[in-house]
Amino acid sequence: HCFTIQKDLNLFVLYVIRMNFPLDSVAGLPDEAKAALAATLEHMQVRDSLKMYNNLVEMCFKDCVEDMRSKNLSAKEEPCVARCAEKFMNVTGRVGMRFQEFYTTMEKEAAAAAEAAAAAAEKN
Amino acid sequence: MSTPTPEEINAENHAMAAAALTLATTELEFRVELLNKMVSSCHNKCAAKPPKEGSLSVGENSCIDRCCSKYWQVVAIVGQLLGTSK
Repeated sequence: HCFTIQKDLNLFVLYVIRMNFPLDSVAGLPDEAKAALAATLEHMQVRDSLKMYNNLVEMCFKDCVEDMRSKNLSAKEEPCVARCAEKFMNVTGRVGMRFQEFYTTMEKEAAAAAEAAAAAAEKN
Repeated sequence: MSTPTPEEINAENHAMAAAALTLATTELEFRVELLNKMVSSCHNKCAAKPPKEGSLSVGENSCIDRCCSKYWQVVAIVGQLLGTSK
């Protein structure tokens, strides 16, 4: 199992950063506001990475760890946890990819619709 | 009425920028939450438990793609309903 939690968390976080802001509300902001937004974004990334870490641990513990007869994870439980975490990161990656696609498509359609509405308004 | 002073214009611009920043931040939080819920829902519906392997099977991949597509449609429908029922 050659995946690292850190690398996959970064991948997940990348999908969040790459999301496009609605151009109207961000482009016109003064520089301090843009910097403040960037700082907020960074803070959110850290917070969400940690939250995801906790949720993932809880989920894999619930799914994989059964008996409390020993202090250490059994030979069955330990690989189960590794597989559980890896699977979740793979799901996250794929969903993130589709999420990006959908959002990009949706924003293109919204922009096209807005342009069409503006053109129609100008004609009248 | 007198024309607004440069200070008043400046203050108003700052207020508008602050409001736009709050709006952008709120929208960003919404998107992150949406993504998280999408991951969680599709993981529940598609990932085999307990996992036999870490990588995704072909069936799981298709399931996830369809799950995302349907989730997005639900987002659109609910959004429309909420938008028109004010």
